[in-house]
Parts: sequence; structure tokens; C-alpha cells
Amino acid sequence: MNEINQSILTLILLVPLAGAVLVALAPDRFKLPNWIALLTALVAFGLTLHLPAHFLLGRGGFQFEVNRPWIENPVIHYHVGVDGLSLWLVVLTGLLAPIGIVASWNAIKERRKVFYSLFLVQQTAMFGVFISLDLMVYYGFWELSLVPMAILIAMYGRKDGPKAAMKFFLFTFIPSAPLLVALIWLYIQTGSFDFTTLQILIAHGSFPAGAIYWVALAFLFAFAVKVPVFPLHGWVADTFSEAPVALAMVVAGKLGLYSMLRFHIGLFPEQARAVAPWVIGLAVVGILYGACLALVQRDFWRLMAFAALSHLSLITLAIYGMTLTGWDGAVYQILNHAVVDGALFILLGALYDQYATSQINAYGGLAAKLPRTATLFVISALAMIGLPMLGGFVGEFMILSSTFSGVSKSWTVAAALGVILGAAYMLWLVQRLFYGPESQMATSKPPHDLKVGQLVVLWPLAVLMLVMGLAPSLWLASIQTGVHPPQSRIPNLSPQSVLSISSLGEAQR
Amino acid sequence: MNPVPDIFRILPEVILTVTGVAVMLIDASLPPDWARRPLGWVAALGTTLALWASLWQLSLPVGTGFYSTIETSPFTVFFHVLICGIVLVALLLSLDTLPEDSHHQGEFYALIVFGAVGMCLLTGAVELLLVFIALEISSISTYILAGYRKDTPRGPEAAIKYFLLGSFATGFLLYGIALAFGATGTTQIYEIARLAPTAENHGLVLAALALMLVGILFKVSAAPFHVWTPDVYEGSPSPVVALMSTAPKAAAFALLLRVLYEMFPSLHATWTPLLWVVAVLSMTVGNLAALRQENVKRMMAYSSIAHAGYLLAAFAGFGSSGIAAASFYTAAYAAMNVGIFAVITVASGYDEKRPLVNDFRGLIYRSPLLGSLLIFFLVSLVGIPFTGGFFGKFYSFTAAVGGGAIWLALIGLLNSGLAAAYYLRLALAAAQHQTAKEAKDAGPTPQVGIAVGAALLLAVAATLILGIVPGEVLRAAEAGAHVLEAPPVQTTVLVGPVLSPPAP
Amino acid sequence: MEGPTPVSALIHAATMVTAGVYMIARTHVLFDHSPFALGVVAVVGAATALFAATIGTVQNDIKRVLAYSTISQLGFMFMACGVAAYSAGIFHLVTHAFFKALLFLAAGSVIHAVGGEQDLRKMGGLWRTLPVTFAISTVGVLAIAGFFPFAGFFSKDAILYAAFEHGMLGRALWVSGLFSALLTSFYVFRLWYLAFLGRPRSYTGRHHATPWTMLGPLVILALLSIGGGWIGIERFSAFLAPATGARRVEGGGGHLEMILALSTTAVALLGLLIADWLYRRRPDAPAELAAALPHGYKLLAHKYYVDEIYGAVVVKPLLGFSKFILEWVVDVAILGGLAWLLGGIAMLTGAILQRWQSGNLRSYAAWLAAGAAALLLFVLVPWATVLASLSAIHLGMAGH
Repeated sequence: MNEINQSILTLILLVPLAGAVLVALAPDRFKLPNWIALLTALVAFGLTLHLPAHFLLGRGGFQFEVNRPWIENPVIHYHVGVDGLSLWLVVLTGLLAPIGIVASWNAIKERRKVFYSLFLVQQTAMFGVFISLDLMVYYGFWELSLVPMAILIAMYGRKDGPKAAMKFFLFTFIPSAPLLVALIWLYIQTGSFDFTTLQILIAHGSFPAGAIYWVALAFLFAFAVKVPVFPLHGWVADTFSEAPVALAMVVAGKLGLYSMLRFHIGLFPEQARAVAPWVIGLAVVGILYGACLALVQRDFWRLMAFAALSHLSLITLAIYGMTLTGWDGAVYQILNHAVVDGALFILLGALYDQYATSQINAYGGLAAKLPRTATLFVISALAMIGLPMLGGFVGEFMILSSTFSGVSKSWTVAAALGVILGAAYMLWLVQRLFYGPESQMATSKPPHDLKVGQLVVLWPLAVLMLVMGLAPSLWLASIQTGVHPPQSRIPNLSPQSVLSISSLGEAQR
Repeated sequence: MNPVPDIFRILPEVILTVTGVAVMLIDASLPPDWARRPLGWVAALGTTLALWASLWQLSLPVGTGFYSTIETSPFTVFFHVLICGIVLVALLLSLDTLPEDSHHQGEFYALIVFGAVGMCLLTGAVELLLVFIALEISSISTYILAGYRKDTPRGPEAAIKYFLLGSFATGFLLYGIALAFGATGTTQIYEIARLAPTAENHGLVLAALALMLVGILFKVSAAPFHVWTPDVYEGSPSPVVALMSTAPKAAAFALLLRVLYEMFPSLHATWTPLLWVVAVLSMTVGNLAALRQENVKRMMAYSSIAHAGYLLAAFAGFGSSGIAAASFYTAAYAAMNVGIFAVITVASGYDEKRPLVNDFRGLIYRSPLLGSLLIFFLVSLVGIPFTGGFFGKFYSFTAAVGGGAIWLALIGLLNSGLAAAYYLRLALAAAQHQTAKEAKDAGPTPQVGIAVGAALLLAVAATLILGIVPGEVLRAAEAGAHVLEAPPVQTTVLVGPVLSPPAP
Repeated sequence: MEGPTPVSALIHAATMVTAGVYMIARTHVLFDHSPFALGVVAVVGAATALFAATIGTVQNDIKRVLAYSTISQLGFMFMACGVAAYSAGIFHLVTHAFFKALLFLAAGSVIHAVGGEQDLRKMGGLWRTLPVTFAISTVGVLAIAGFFPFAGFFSKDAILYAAFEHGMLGRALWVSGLFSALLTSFYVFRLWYLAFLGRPRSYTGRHHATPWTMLGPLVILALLSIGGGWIGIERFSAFLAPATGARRVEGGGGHLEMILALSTTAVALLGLLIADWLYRRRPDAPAELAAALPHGYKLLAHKYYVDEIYGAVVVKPLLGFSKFILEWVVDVAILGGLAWLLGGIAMLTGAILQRWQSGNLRSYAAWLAAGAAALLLFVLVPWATVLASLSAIHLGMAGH
């Protein structure tokens, strides 16, 4: 068992990669690429389930840790591990992969090898981001995740894929330039890319105060674009409109939000505290701005994009509220948002595949023709709105209550207003798509409701939303072990050991 | 310490020369209607042998031969191996892509091999006159190769431009050498290094540095000496561009390292800010000009200017870290650039009827292999982790930050963000759907033969190795860097004529 | 309101909309601390009761009448809560559940019988064809109007009594509540007259006999509507005391109680009489009345333009602001423009740099020479000294 625990994370990384190679080598016949990809994704998902099953709740810090030297100069270690913060994000990534593959099953008709191969590479990159504890390895996966995304958006875009892909790539790639400079600077100062070492050194070491502030800001900037945080959201709408469903499901949110928690607040708590009021302000603006723009979108992909901006800003608000409950709620809401968004994207994708338009006003009155789609859509929309008993409620409640008690009452009121607007645009979307008089398009085309393959993935998601709403402690118990402030995570640090570690840094410098 | 026979110090060059002469002679003696393609294999074989010989040279003690004119050290071996590798890939590439009926195929291979001789000599030379001669050997063969497609108007134009401007620039180099001689009374690099700090006329030393830099920066196509690059790259055959955008540059960078770190370390304070400016200028000018470029080869020419800039950023680093980073970058850049030109060669064919970015549209649909490889090399050029391009940039900018040039690193990395725009334009074009009409216009699916396949495999492997396990290569680069920082101790001070009777 | 009838019945009568009343009663501890909040609740409740009742008087859709009636009764419940008579509010909630569910189901039965028609103006004379439904509806109507001894009487009376007891504000609330009760009585009897009495008007569709499966629940509800109030507010309060607090025990007999109860009954009777006069004796009168007061009628028919006001005050400005200010100005013009500008500058610089590439050999050579000159200058001029002396000159000039 110990050996499995030792190698499980490596396996999780390698399985999708191996799958990608296999898909690339296998002939494109009999839907072979689909099956190989699905199988690999399921295996990877199964492997991720090992993590919560053997996660020791009582133990703080990282588990399933592997730390081996990789590159001598600069000192880069293959250092991976999960804690409560990343545990469920890994599982979530594992879960969404087979779902994404099933969702693309019939939608992707050409160059399936390229699609599934790159999709699996993307999967590896995302696993890598969540489990890396060496900043360089983390950066590697962070950047790697951009490439398959950009290529697949270009290849399978609906109207102008290359333009959206370019926008996505430049928006997310350019901010990582300051990030890399900041990483290099940290390395030159400390001689280490290791997360825990850096955490200790930054907490106890003496860096030039101005410089470390800028370093922290470079981290934040890169993450903020990826989340996105207002006003850095320029790429989202086009990306959501063009990206294939399986990728749109994962493009926004969790990578950036997780990175904020782990690498911005985790490494630079003081500096994060200093900028927190600004980020909170932007987050609140983002909540309202996203919600307002979602209200007036005519295209449902763009509506989803601004809805995502609004919801992700709410999570950002919770993260920079710097309260423990807020962090719990943030992680929980990341999970929930991914599940709900995933379901909604699959459903909208199904509509798009059938009617080939994303103009909302072309739809109408579909509920009678597509009862399954309508039912699942309503459930997912309600979960997104934050209806009690569904997952969204728990996360939103934790976020708003923590903001109210720990940050500011007026910000909470503004954020809650965004939640109300959220209900408005989602319900209005439901109403315009599925109810009201049947549109001409709806009458003119024979209806094809969801097929077994889609139902097989959607119903579990719907059930998951319900379970997440009813039994959040299943997740929160382990999440809570991960979001304790960094100070308390290294309690046994005697002054001597701090000294020895910082002198180690000196020596390496 | 047993004296090493001088001939061992130039073993790779000897092998290459023999190969070149052999190719030329066989070419001349074969009946005119026989295929010349096997000659390429002969050249490739010779280059491989030279590569092994260079590696073998590692077992020699570090030192010089031929009256302290040529050095063998980890530094020279690093660049020898690199150059021979590039030449090998270029030969393999030419083997499959030169049309069967093209004239002077034998000459082509021979010229490539002769060029390799010059480049190898250049990296080993520690005597400025030998440096000049080596540079000329490599340049002249490149000039001729640039004009190899005589039937197109662009070919001869490229060759003439390259030749005239190259000669002009070499003139500056030669002038610099003369000034260095005037200031110190010697042309031996170690000696100049020893004498330069105490030279009577310091201005002369500075002028020597500046003029030599003009010549070398021209060769590496750094701004503002880059203007020739796009025209020449556009007119030259793609396999030649694959070669000349990498191998002569690698040699020139080796020379730059030698001149700056070994010959004029005392002027560090002077040339660091100078190269800071040149680096920023190169990458910015290269990237900006590439943004709107529609012709792929011109775009890659600007890209190579930008990459020269990234590489020069490493020179902001102190001592061995800067040298090692620059050496590593040379290797990484060579791997991916040779790779991308290989893809371009195969994809757009020898006659290059379809040279524009839009002509690459749907390449991944026409030929999944070529399309994927094109994207792969472009991703590496962008500098995405797990490819050589990333670690090249990473080391270069780490050296810069280590040397205190944080702004240079920031500008450089922002530049690589800017560069992503045009690399991506090409990559996304390749990934884009093509209409049926475009598919018809694009003509037959390009085929990948054995030789090209081997060349691509080498390039991909090198790019991946440099990106995933760069440790070994970096160690080799560092070993070379240490040699440059502490040159082999000179036991006999050379005074008098260089050409004295050979040692018994 | 737009849902199928039994669903409307359930939603409106018993569960969802009354949840607010329940919430106030449940959290009365909070409200007890804030007399102002209670006052707001009471005034909102009274206003709701009044406005909804007035709207209910002019609706023609049978289900709409009932829906507005529900809103009006909710207002009563809120009013009760607002005067801290929580048990009275809950009491009315319970009795209202009986008779409103009854009325909705009866309306469903009617609609079913006339083939899906919901317009009261097209019904009429249904007492003949639907005798059981008619009887049951009569019970419901009497209950909601507040006739003794039907359930509505007891709860409504408790609320009005509690309001009357509640100081100056309470008196005003009582007056308003009484008027609402009058309107309530009027509009239910109007419904009753239009649907069941008179002559059959122009409904198409065949008559469906109402099956016993539909009538069974109706009978049960009817019995509850008759007897549900007899439990009395005292016992009900005692029952709720653990939850709502036992501070006020309403009722308790006395003259005042009797007078108030009589006035409640009186307004119910008055409502019946007005309805009788308008819809039985002078069937043309309603139309004349509407014609005589066109503005008032329109105001009521359009529900005081509440939806329109919301639309004009909240929805339209919000959508307009989002569309024009946020989307076009901020998102497209400013943010998009900024990105476009950055890209444009890069592109423009690129274009200028390409011009550098004239293809002209002589100019290339000139550039090369210029570059060499720049390099020489860079290296040979001792910049540090030059700058130092320049700044010295500058300082010297500043010194003068």
C-alpha cells in the first residue's frame, strides 16, 4: 500500500500522457481514439479516487508526497503531493475528463486522434498544476496547459477558432512572463524552487520588502488573468464561444483560483494581505459586471462566459477575504462550479450540435420537445443559482457569510446582489430556451433529445450536485485540513531550524 | 603530461576536410548521368565520424596545438558536436528534398561539409588570424549555398547580398583584429587577454572590441546588424536556411563568447551594457517585424533575430553562468530551428511555390505528422516548458537576473509573449480547417522520406531532451564555460612569426 | 397562477407563498427587538391586502381572481405578524389553506367542466350543471368572505381585533383591513355570481361531469372550511405559545370583541350585497361603472402598473446600463480598445520596422556602417564622465 501511495501521483500524471501517445499511434478507425481516450481517462479517474480513500484527515501537510531530484542546475525537484486544498481538485479533474470525452464523442468527427491526444495532454498538465510542489514543475505544467487548449480551440472552433485561440493564448501567456521573472528572482535569492522551503524562507527570511511585493504581484497578475478577474477577462467570452465543450468545461476558474490560494496567499501571506482590498474591490466589480453583462448577452456561450466571470469573482472575493471559512467555501465552490458548469456546457453543446446556433432568441419552447435536456438544464441552472439542497448553495453561503463577518458588510451586500442577478439571467435563459412559444427553428427541426451516452454522464453530475448540497462535509472535512494558514502548518519550526534553513539558502545563493 | 600530437587537436576538421574533398572528387569523376544522391550519404557519414571524433577529443587533456592557435577543450567539443549535429541534420534534409535532377548536387554536399570545417575551426581557434580564416571558410561556402537555386531570381540576389554585406562586416572584424594587434602586439587570444588590461592605448583596445563585435554581431544577425537576414533567408533554399540560421550562428556565438569572456574579460563593464542594448534591440525589432510577416521564411528570419536577442541576454550573467546559458541556448535554438526549417522544407517543397503563412493552412489535415511537428517546434520556439526552447530561455534569463539585469529578463520574457503571437499564427493556421478548394490548391500531400524522417527525429529528440532532461547538456556547457573562464595555462609565450617550422 | 390548477392550489394556498409568514413568526424574536421592522411589516401587509384586493375586483380570469385573493390574504397574515399577533397570522394561514385550496380546486373543477375556459365572463349558470361544485364553492366563498361560522371569520376577526388593539397605527390598520375585507367579500361573490349564477353565457366546449375523485378532496376541504375555525384563536395561541411566545392572548370576549366581530360580519355582508346588486340585479352596471371611471378601471386592470413600473425603474435601466455602458463602453470600447491599441501599436511598429527592409543593398551597407559607428561611440565615449560633467554643468547653471 505504501508503494502505491508513493507512486499514485506519478501514475496519475503518466496515465493520460501514455494515453495521449497511444491515441497518437493507434489508427483512426472504429472510434478507436475515442475508446482509448475514454479508457485512459477512466483509469486516471479511478486512480485519483485512491487519493481521498487513503487521505489521512488527521495529518496536516502534504500526503502521497514524492520528492526526487530532477535537474541539478537549477535545483529542480520532481516534488509532488496533495493536501486538503488540492485533493478534491485532482479528483475533479479526473472526473471531468471522461465526461468531457463522452461529451465530445459524436461532436468531434475529424482528426479525432489529434483531439483526444491533445485532450489527454491537457489532462496531464492540469493534474500537474494541482499536484506540483516545486515551483518550476508547477510553472511547466501551467504553461503546458495552454498549448493543447489553444490548438484545439483553433482546430475545432465554431466560427473563428484561430482568433479566439490566439486571444486566449496571448492573454494567458504574456502574464506568465512576469511570473517567470519572479520565479527566477526567487530562485536567485534562495536557491530553491521548493514550495515548502520557499514558504519558510519567505516567512522568516529577509528579502528586500519592495522586491518581494513586486514578486507577489507578478504571481497574482498571472493567476488573475487565468481566473479571470475583472478587468482581465477579455479572453473569456471568445474562448467560451469557440472552445469545444470538453475544453470549455475546464478552461476557466480552477487553475487560477487554486494557484491564488496555494502560490499567492500560500507563499506571500503578508503581501497578499496588502493587496487583498484591491482584489476584493475588483472581485465585487467582477461579480456585478459579469452578472450585468450576462443579462444582456444574446449568445448563450457568451452568457456563460460572463456568468463564469461573475461566479469566479465571487470565489476570488472569498479567497482574498482571508478568512478560513471563506477559503473552505472557495475551494468548495470551485468544485461545485466546475461540476455545474460542466453539466451546463454539455447541455448547451448538445443544443448547439443539434440546432447549430447559439443565439438565444432562436430557441424557445423546447421543453416539450426535449424534456430530458430541459429537466437536466433546469437542475443545473438551479444549482448554479445556489438553490438550497444543491451544491451551489453551500459554497455561496459559506462565501457570503464569511465575507459578511470577516470582511465587509457592504461588499457582501454587493456580492449578494450579484447572486440575485445570477438567478435572474439563469432563469431568464431557461425561460427563453425551453419555455414560451415554440420558435420557428424548434418546430422546423425534428427533436433529438439526449442520448444514453449523454445521460450517463449528466445524471451522475446532477446527483453529484444534490449530494454536494446535502452532504458537504464529505468534502469539507478534507478541504479544511488544507486551508489552514501557512503559519499553523509549520508549527514545529524551532528558531534553530529556521536559521539552518535560511543559512542553507545563503549557502546556495 | 604527454604532449598530444597536434593532428589530434584538429581531428574532426581533418575528417571533414577529407570527406569534403572526397565528395568533390567523386562528384567530378562520376559519369554526368549518375545520381549524386549517394554523395550526400558519404558526406553524412563523414560528418558523423567527425562528430564522434569531437567527442573522442574529450579524452585529450585541455590544451592547444599548432603553436597555440587551436584549442581543444570541453568548450570546443560542445560546439563541435553541436555544429556537426546541425550539419548532419541539414545533410539528411537535403538528401530527400533536393530534386534528383538538380545540377551540382555533389558540390552542394561538399560545400556544406567545407562550411562545417570552417565553423569547427572557428570554435577552436585561439588565434585571431585563424579565426579570420575559419570565418571566411565557413562564410564563403555559405554564400555559395545561399545562391544555390540559380534559376530563381531570389537565389542569386540573396547570395550577392549576403556576400557583399558579409564581406563588409568581416572587414570590420579584420580591422578590429588589426587594432587588437596594434594595441597588444599579438593576435593570440590568451596573450591579448593578458596584455589588454595594461595596454598603453586603451582606446585602441576599446575600438578593437567594438569593431570585432560589429563583425560577430553581423554573423549572429543581432540588431542593428540584422538587415540582411530576411532577404537572404527568403532567397536561399530551405535546407540551406536550416543550416545557416543555426550552425554558422552557433560558431559565431562561440567566437563571441571567446572574444568577450576570454579575450576581453577586463572590459566586462563596457560590453555588458552594450550587449544589454543589443539584446533588447534584437528581440524587440525581430519580434515586432515578424508580427506582420506573411512569408514564413522571412518570419522565421525575424524570429532568428529575436532569438539572437534572447541569447545575448545571457551575456548579462556573470562568468560561467552566462557562458553556460549562452552555450545551452545555442544548442536549444539550433535543435528547434533546424527542426522547423526541416518541416518548412518538406511542407513547402524545394521550389517553394507556396511560401506564405496561409499556404500552411490545414497542414495538420493534409499531413498530421508534419502539422504536429510544425506546431511542436513552434511551441518550443514560443518557449513552452518541456521543450528545449523553454530551458534555453530559462537559463539565459536566469543568468541575466543573476547578473542583476532583471529588466532585461522582464523585457525578454514579455518579448517572448509578443513572439507567441506570430508563432501561434503559423501554428494555428496549420491547425485550422481548410476549405476543399484550398486543399486542392495545396497540391499533393508532402511525403516524409527516410532521410528527412531521420533528420526530424533527431531534431525532435534533441528538442525534447533539452526540454525534459537538460542536465547533461548543461553540464557539458558548464564544463566549457569553466575552460573559457580559466584558459589553459600557456607555457610557451609566443613571440615572433606564427609560421615557424613544425615541431619534431 | 399559470401552473396547472392543483399545483396552483397547493402553491398558493398552503405552502410556498405563505412561507414568508411562517418565517416571520418563526423569527419573531428578531422582529420583537425592532418595533420599526414590525411596523414596516404591518404597513406592507395592510397595503398588500388592500392593493391585491382592489386588483382582484376587476380580474376576469377565474384563477387570477383567486391568485390576487391569495396575495390579499397574505397581506392580512403579514399585518397580523406586524402587530405581533403571530398566532393570529398563523391561524389565518391555516384557515386560508383550507378555503383557498378548496376554491382553487373548485375552480379547477369548473374549468375542467367548461372545457378549459378560464374567463368568468363566459361562464354562468353553472350551479345547474355542477351542483356539488357549486355547493362546495359556496362554502369556500362564505369562508373567505368571513361569514360566521365559517373558518375565515374566526381568523380574520382575530387579526382585525389584534390590529385594533395595537395603538394608533393599529387603528389605521384596522380601518384598512376592514375595507380589504369588504373588497374580499365583494370579489369572491362577484366570482360566485359570474360563474355559477345567471344564465350560461358563451363558453364553448362540452360539459364534463366532475368525477368523484375530484370532488372527494373538495368535500374534505369544505368540511374543514366550515369547521376549521371553531378551534378558536385562544386554543390556537396556546398551542403556538412555545414558538411564538405567550405574551398576548387574543380574544377574550367583551364588548369590543363583539363589536369588532359584528363589524367584520357586516362588511362581509356589505360585500355580498354590492356583488348582488352589480352582478345580479344590474348586470350592466359593472361595464357602466368601468366606463364612468376609465382611469381607475385601467389602473386596476393593469394591476396598478406594478410590473410596468418595475420594468421601467429596474429592469429597463439595468438592461440598458448593462448593454450600453457596461458592454459597449467598458467591455468593447475601453477594455477591448485597450487590447486592440496595444496590438495595433505592435503591428504598426512592425510595419515601420519592415520598411527598414528596403531590399536595397546600399542602404543595408549604410545601416551596417551606422551600426558600427554607434557601437564605436558607445564604447569609446566615456559615458559616465560625460553624464557626470553634463549634470555638473546643469547644476552649475542651476546654481546661477
